[in-house]
Amino acid sequence: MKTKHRPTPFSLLATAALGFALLAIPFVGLAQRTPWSSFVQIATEETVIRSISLSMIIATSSACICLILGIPLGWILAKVEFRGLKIVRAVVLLPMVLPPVAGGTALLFALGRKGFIGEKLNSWFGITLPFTTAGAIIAATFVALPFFVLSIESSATELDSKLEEASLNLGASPIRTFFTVTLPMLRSSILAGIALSWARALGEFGATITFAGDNPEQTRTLPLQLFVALETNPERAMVIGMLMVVISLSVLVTLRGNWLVRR
Amino acid sequence: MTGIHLSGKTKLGAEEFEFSFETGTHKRIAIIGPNGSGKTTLLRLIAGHECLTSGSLQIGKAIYDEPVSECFVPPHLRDLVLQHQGGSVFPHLTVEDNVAFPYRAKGYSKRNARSLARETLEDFGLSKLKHKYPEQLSGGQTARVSLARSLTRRPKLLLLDEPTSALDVESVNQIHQILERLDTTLFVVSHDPVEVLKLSDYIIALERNEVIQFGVLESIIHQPTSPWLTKFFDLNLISGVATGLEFKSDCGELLQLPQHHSGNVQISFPSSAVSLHLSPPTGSPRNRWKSTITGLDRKDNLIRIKLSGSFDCYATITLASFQELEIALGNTIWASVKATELNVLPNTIPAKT
Repeated sequence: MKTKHRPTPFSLLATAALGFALLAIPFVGLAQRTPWSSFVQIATEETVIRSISLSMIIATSSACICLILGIPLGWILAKVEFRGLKIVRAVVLLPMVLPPVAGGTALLFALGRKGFIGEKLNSWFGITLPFTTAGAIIAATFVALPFFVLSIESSATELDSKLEEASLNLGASPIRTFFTVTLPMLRSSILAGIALSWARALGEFGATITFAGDNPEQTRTLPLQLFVALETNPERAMVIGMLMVVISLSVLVTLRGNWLVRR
Repeated sequence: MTGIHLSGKTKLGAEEFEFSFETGTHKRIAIIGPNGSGKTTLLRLIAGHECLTSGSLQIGKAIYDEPVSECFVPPHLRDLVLQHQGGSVFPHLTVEDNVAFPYRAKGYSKRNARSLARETLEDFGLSKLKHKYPEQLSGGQTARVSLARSLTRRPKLLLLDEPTSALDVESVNQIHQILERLDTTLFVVSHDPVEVLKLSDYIIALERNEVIQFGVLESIIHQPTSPWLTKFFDLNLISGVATGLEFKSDCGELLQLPQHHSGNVQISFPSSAVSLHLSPPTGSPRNRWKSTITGLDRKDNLIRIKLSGSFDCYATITLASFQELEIALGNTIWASVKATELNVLPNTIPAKT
């Protein structure tokens, strides 16, 4: 709820402005150095277009996987009591705290060509994940899933369990209750979780480059493209950076922050 | 037959509960007791949201919960509905879809479920609200929607946790009218003695997480075993005939009623609402009569006085007033009660004679 007509203390206003400036100034710097005359030309280069579509595919697939795996996980963390709950929760949230490079390294030793699962995937099914889009999706999901789970868990904890009980009382089975009562009640946090995990997956860099490597055809998403360009062609890097700002900002403005901030 | 036979213990966190009672063939059961005495826990136990740690719960002929034989029927398979305090109406569904919910759970198609729900809403006079969402409803409407939804499951047993708390008088009357017509076995948790008199004929009284007394209503009213129960049922019941605003007791005494009524009724009023006077009282109380003091009972600072005359009733006054009036057994005295203190009940409960 927004309060109008109430004077905001000046000290709060000033501190808030400082915080906003810290977040906004880097983009002003970027915009000011961006070679706008060649913006469209660079942004529509084939390699850049491929990176954009790769980024979209990876972020969207990753958000979908988060949706499927994250709802039951978040709900169980919130509602079910079992031994080791604290450890499970800590492991689930680990990728949020861990540097993505460390996460990528861990993924490499588990699912990489020599990893203890990756090796079997390769010898049994002929599947290798590094340097593929699938690998990039796994890396992005690894870092994005905790955001989704956290969003579900926090609102599932507050969920009025009387409504679920009422549903059971009215003859609905537990699974039916989950789909017809629990999920609709979690609607806004599911949407917030999708938006958060999509955004996190879109910006993913460290885990992707460590685990999925830099393959121009399959794994070179916008952040990787930006990293490569920064070493070879700073002008290109600025355009790609600006492009990411534009994409992300337009997504956030479309969502109007509605899904991200629960009111 | 949906008599309940419960004898068992349960534990919730650090709290232990021990329940033991049976309801036989009675179909109108009230659960009463002070706050925090385990009333809601008892309902949740019957509904299967809590489970026994020992003992057994039998409904009709079937065992529903018996730890020793590892028998536990999950809530959705019990043929009963627990209606939480406040109704627990689903906020994301319209009134119509709320009421259709039990049909959907039974496997009816959305269309059939909705058309059946509309019939129920018609019966409840809620048709106009069918496309509304719960947040658009008043408290009384929410209570009626919740009740309509519970009844569409056609439960053998309906467990109601304070169905009329926090409702206005008009809504309370509507809910009571619906409940009085029901054929289902009813368990009602209530804090209101008048509601208990209206809706039940069997009482389960709880105190400190235990059943302290259970049995037919009259036996509890006439022989309460705890101070709390004595106070709860400290009511005078008088039967007679109502005509408009006038009530004529079976012995011919005339009393004024707060609302229009007709036919055989009973009126109830708490003994604390009765005032005593040495001479015929004047002033606002419209109802006064002459009685003889036939009994005195002191509890702390209060004196409960039995009055006999054309009808028997009790008055409770403080020790100070008692001493001021200088009254003793056998004295004649005037009693009065304000018409606004009278509650009118349908004539179903045998009055104390």
